[in-house]
Amino acid sequence: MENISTYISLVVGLLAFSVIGILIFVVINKNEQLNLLKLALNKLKNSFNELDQQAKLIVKTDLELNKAQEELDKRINGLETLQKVSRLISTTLDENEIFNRLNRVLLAELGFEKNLILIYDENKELLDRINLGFPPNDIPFILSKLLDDGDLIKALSDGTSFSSLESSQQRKEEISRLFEVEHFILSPVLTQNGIIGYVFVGNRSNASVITAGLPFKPNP
Amino acid sequence: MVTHIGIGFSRDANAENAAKEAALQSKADLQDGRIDFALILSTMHYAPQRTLPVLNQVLNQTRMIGCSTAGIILSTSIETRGIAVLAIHSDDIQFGIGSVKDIHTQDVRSSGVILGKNSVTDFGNPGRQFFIFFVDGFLKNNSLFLRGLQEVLGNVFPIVGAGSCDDFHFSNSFQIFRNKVLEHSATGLLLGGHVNVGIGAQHGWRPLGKPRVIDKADGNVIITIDGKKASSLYEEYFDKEAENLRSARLGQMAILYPLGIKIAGESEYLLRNAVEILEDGSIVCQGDVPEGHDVHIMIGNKDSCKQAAVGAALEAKKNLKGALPRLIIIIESMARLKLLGRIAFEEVKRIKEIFGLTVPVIGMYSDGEICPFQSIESIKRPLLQNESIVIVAIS
Repeated sequence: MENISTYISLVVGLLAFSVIGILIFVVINKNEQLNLLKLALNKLKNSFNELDQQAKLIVKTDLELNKAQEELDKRINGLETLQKVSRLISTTLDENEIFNRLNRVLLAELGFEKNLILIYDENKELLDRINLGFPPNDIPFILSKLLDDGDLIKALSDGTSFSSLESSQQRKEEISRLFEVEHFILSPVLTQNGIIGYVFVGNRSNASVITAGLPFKPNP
Repeated sequence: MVTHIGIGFSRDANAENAAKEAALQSKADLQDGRIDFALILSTMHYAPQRTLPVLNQVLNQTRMIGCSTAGIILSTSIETRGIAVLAIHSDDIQFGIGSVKDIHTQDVRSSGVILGKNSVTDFGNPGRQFFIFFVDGFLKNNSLFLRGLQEVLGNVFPIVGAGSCDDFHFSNSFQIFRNKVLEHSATGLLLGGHVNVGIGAQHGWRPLGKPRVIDKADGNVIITIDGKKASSLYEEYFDKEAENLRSARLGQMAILYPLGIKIAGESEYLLRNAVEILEDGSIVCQGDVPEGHDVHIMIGNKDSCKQAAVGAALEAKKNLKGALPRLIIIIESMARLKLLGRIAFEEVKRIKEIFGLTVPVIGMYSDGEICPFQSIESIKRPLLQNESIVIVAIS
């Protein structure tokens, strides 16, 4: 009996030892697998983060691209408009007809919110030949304010153009206030005999900025 | 049994002349003195107070609805300035129109209910098939408005909607109902009778970067993403440009890179434009945002836009079930006009190739679209989407 119980204890002991051995082996194996999985997970996380960094670059490039495309579209539209204008006005010598045609072109193609063409008549009085976007009642006030600004008129007569991009802060604010716009171009109409009028175009909103129309330079 | 469709358009400098010219053209195209319904689409260059009396008079005081838009889609061109008139006379189709005013000062959901009820009342008879409405695109949660409409019309009733907008200034818009000009309001048209309607909608925007989790949202406001203030998502991606986030130019940037939310069961990402960034960095979206879902910054390009347009057209054609289309209405996000620029008309060309070159086309660029989207349960439920193209083929 004693031998049998010793024998059973030995067998149980051996089995327990084997089970513990197997379990240790399994744990070590699982641990290795876990480490491998952790490594893979880290690798995946890194790749994910790298992809996210690349995505940020893509967004930046896309933003630049959109801006460049917008500039390009503007330039192409401008060039097409110029071509149309030259075609339209080259077929008539009638001043009224020229302004009539310019009116349509300005409206349809240039897309500025406010357009004003002022021309001196025979009595050297300044008249609005094209007015788009200004209440007619505001025109006398704009004309008187404009003519009162001797420095501005002199600069325009000398062939200087003003724009919201390049004018001094003070000049920009004065013109913006007078015409109630955010972005503008004010330019003289010059002939060989001197100044015959002024062209003004502008946009009220910050959303439609007038840009230089220069080739787009991406950020370094 | 006949249906006549007339479309007129004008870009005359004078508002009254433009209205008159567009209305007369649509009448001439209609070849019939009787007009049962007219849809007016106008860019912001024309004061509706000046155009509407003329339109109302020329179109014989017919049922009239409409809204302002960033651009008008026609069979032959895309116009960013002008007035378009769609006039319909039909023995087969029944029309019912409705409106609700000043949604911004009322409960938005109740406003949807009112619009639905008004339209159903005007429609009268049973047999309604399709509802299209125009709502102020600058309202901050049009999802609630849609839910109100669905209370009246049903959850799976085909509803298409467009957010009225301006020319990318994101400042104001108007809606037209009969001879009235409305602001912060909505107008709608219920169609029924012997008419088949096929609707298709896609957006074509793709997710970019790793997903983040919206861990706190309240209605249409995302409060935190991945434990950080919601606006940090845009700040991470846009770097210096993120300075625009709290300025007037947010709209221009947000429409190109909306947030995309993956909803289990939906085949497309749900797109949401950011309309405002609050002081605490929360992002206010145009529609409801579900909490606990993954969110991505989304990106689109010209090709994906064109593919989505073709996909939407094919889907609309399939949903017509073999009937010949008599009119195509396109409602398209203003973001797509911005993205496609000078080649925007190519989308229309491809759509026409699918439906036939002679089918009349009219459409608008909108700020927010409502359209039925497919889920895996094969049920199409109307949802507010952004950056989408919705094509409605009417037979």
